[in-house]
Amino acid sequence: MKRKFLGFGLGLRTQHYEYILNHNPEVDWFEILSENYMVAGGKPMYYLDAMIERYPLVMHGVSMSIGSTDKLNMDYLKQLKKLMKRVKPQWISDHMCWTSAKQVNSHDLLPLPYNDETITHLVSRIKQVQNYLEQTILLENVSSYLTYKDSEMTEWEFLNEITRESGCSLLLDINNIYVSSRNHGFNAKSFIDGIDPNSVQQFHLAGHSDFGTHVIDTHDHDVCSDVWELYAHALDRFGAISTMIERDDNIPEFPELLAEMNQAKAIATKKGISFDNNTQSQHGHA
Amino acid sequence: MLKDLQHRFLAQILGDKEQNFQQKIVKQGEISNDFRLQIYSNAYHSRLRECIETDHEVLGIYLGDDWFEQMVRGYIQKNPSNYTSLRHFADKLPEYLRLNEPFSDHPLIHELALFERTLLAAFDAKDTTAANREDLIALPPDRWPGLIMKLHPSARIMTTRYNTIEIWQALKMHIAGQDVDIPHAIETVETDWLIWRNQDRLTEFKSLNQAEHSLVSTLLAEQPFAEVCQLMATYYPPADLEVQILDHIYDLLDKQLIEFG
Repeated sequence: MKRKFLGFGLGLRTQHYEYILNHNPEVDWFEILSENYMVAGGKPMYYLDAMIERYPLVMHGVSMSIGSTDKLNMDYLKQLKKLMKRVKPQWISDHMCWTSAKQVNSHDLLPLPYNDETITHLVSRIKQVQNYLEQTILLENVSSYLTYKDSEMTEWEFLNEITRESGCSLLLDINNIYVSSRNHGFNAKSFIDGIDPNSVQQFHLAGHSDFGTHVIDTHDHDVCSDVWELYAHALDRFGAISTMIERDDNIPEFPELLAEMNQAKAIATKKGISFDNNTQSQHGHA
Repeated sequence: MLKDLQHRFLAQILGDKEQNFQQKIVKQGEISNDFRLQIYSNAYHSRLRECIETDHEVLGIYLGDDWFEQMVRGYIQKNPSNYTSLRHFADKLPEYLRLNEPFSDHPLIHELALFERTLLAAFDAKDTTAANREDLIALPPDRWPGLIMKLHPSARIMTTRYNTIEIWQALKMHIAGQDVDIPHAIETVETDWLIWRNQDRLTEFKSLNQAEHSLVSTLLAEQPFAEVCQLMATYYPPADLEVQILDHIYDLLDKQLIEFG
């Protein structure tokens, strides 16, 4: 996929529907949670249609279970494709993980072992999904709390193999890199420096809960200073990448999230990255 | 190997301690492998608990903390999710409450859960283009007998045998911060309710008398208008029949609950 820079966005949350429609805030794009709109009608679809008219959207899912050893869930993919036709998203994404086994859904983003068997399995499934959806997809690195003995390489080596062999792109979650680095004791900057610069299409920024001995990816806090620093480092490596704030719990008033998004924009601007949404042009260094 | 790893890990998350999955994990840092697995197990239970709490806010208040936790634990154990979306995870909760003690000893609890799920189903049911009074009047008379008036996809009928709706309304007011007495559960005469989503995309409900219940049931079964009239003739004398039928139909049309098939 040719890298497209959308600028700076936010995750669309139901609490903010009315504010957004009434104020038309200066947000370059929004990310919707695909599963929230896999319903027949009512308020969710009404607000979705209103957002489609106003902003560029990308679709982000949590249920593809691309790494599962269950059969691909074609009912889910069918729903996803139907939603894509309605939304006409800039791109779609999910997670580099598995969520279900024996058709039981954990509703969690469970980590994969980083080895050749998983790479072969994942690459085959990503290709099937991309063929069915008739477009390349983005997959996000997840936060993790354990390392399997079956892993034979670093997470970034694993991600590079997957993107190179499947043609998918990365949604790099800077907070998840930080969370996993703390939980597994690796250097977060080494992760970023190890990722193929051509594979990254989008950034997520989010908050977490720090318990000292470990960190949980809760998405219920502001982005912390360490993650902002890591974001600046990622901009140095990857250049102009579409960036958004992802907040899922303890959701503040919209202006507060907008301020956080503008903080990301200010960091990028300092590095010579800007986005002119009148001309849809992009500037920056990669 | 990957398949085995996933099956064992998920079984461990769901509570099967026999898996000894700790042995599959690298020892790192200051926290134990047990603790690392517990993070996933806690996340699984708290996510599903939160889903039930969000979908069944009123039920949660009615049950109180202890019974709510007991219900959550029991339901999660009996009903591992087969859904891709959490939207449907608690679909079987009313049935669980009907069949499992101590909840089954209090049938109102089942009705309360069923009412909240019916509201949810109406909330995001399919959109349609509703007909209005003018559309009906504009129809040529020869089309009326065979006309099928479909009810809006959000429309549903529910029957209560307790003062469930009264208690639900009082608890909603309580949640909104109003000082209100919560009625005691009492068995009442069977009452039928129509539940639907209105034109402002908000859910509504109203009790139905026998004639209305028959009418709505017939429309839900997509019977032609001639059948509807025949059925209504069992409730109203011939002199009032036409006016009564039109009153009912106009009421449903004004609520934007009818489309012409």
